[in-house]
Amino acid sequence: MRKLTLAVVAFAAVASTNVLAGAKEDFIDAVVKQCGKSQADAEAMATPGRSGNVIKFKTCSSATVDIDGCTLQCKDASSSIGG
Amino acid sequence: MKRIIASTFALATLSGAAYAQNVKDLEKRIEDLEFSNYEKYFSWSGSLENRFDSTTSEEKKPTTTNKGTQSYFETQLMIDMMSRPSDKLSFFGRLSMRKLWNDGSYNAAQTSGNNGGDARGNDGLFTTWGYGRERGTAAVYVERAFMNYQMMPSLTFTIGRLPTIDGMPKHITSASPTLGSYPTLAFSAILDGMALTHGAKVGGGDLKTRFIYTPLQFANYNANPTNTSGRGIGNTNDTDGKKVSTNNLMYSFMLDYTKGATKFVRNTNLILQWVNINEAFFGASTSSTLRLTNQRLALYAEFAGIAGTGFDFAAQFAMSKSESEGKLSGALGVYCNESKCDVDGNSYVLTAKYNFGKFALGYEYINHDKNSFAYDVANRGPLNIYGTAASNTHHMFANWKIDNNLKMVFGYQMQQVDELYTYGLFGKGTAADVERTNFYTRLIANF
Repeated sequence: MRKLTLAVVAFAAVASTNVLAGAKEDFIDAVVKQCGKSQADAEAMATPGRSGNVIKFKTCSSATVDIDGCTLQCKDASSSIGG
Repeated sequence: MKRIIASTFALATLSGAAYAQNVKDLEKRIEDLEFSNYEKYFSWSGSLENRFDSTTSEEKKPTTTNKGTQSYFETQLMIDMMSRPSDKLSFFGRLSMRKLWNDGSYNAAQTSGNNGGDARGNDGLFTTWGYGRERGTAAVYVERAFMNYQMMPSLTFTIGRLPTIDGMPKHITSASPTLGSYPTLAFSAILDGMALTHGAKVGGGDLKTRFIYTPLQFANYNANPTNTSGRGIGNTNDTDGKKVSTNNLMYSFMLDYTKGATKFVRNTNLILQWVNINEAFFGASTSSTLRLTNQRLALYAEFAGIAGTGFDFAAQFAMSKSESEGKLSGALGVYCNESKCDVDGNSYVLTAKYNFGKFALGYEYINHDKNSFAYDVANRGPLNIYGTAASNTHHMFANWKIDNNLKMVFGYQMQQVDELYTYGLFGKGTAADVERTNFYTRLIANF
């Protein structure tokens, strides 16, 4: 059981350094700032996967994207001098 | 993800050694996946817009004989590139194409040739049908190519071909995120240069202070070693004997503030921008003495999601001061016919939109004074509503978000032009009464 626990913890530690961590942080930050949600609620909304909320926000090409009742303003970094 | 967790728990039933080996295999697979993701810091995206415009123009003054309608289909392609090779460096680029479908247009002002692929010459269908497949100059139009380098957490250096066009409020009618950095009335042209951006947290929002340097340059491409004269070499004089500059100063200072949700509005954007062009020489040195200085101050305010509703509102105001010395071709100053001209002109745009689900309805009013130096090289429609001095336009539009990657925009514009200038800028102006209308449909795919 102890070995299983260690394996799961090791897996979680490796998975958390995934390159999409930046996109997840941007999503959580946007939900907290724009919808006034708590950090915990925003993290719960940050669902992974190709059709998850993080990617939906990251690839948004509209002015806004509605996620679970929270309307987020989309941003295009390529259109902004200085990012 | 769920499959991996289920497999991990299943391992608990295996023997210790086999279990450890399987965990090791899993870790190796995850590590390979991470490294594969780390290498993929370059990505492509883009948009393909096809639009239809039906334009009617009627001139009542200075003549009363001109009236006509024209309708065209058009395609515009933008292929965007993004690369973030490190935490400090990011690169953005865009390749663009825009053309009328099957363009057989004739332009009497061009004598011949296909201008490296531009349909501005009298090429006709048998040439334009081959654009992109002819042996030409290998030209690819790069609309954007700039890098951001984060020198410090709050200071970013930017250099290259900058994202200065398609700025506010064009994103509102397009139902897009902000499409460019400069508010359209500040100056709408694709500018090359460098910038410093300072970011700070102010009042719960983000304040970006930018200084952007975009010098105007007039080079002499004659590579002959004996070429020691001509504009660009630095020893060309105009017809008054005054030296014609090889470089002119153009810069901008900008305050850009955004704030997320407040009690009254979902998102706020406020911009104050100053643009200066200093003594730019116009015309040929053998026939002109004209130098233009233009200073512009633009203010932009946008409020999205007002009072918890789908209502968005934006207002933009620009003050322009144009000073010119000398005359173009011996006759024309900037907005006057004198050797010294000093004229002011203001412009403003009011944009309102209501969003309901996948649809939105909006109205926009644009007004340009005489002498307002309205300039919009990136205008997407035939009426150039943001870039025509001495005009006002009513613009009604509707958005339909078909899905996350496909949308339509419908619009109707009515424009009144009261003064005509040479190239929109030179000479005192001729009193006019020109009415133009345009109906458009845009189908925009984002990929």
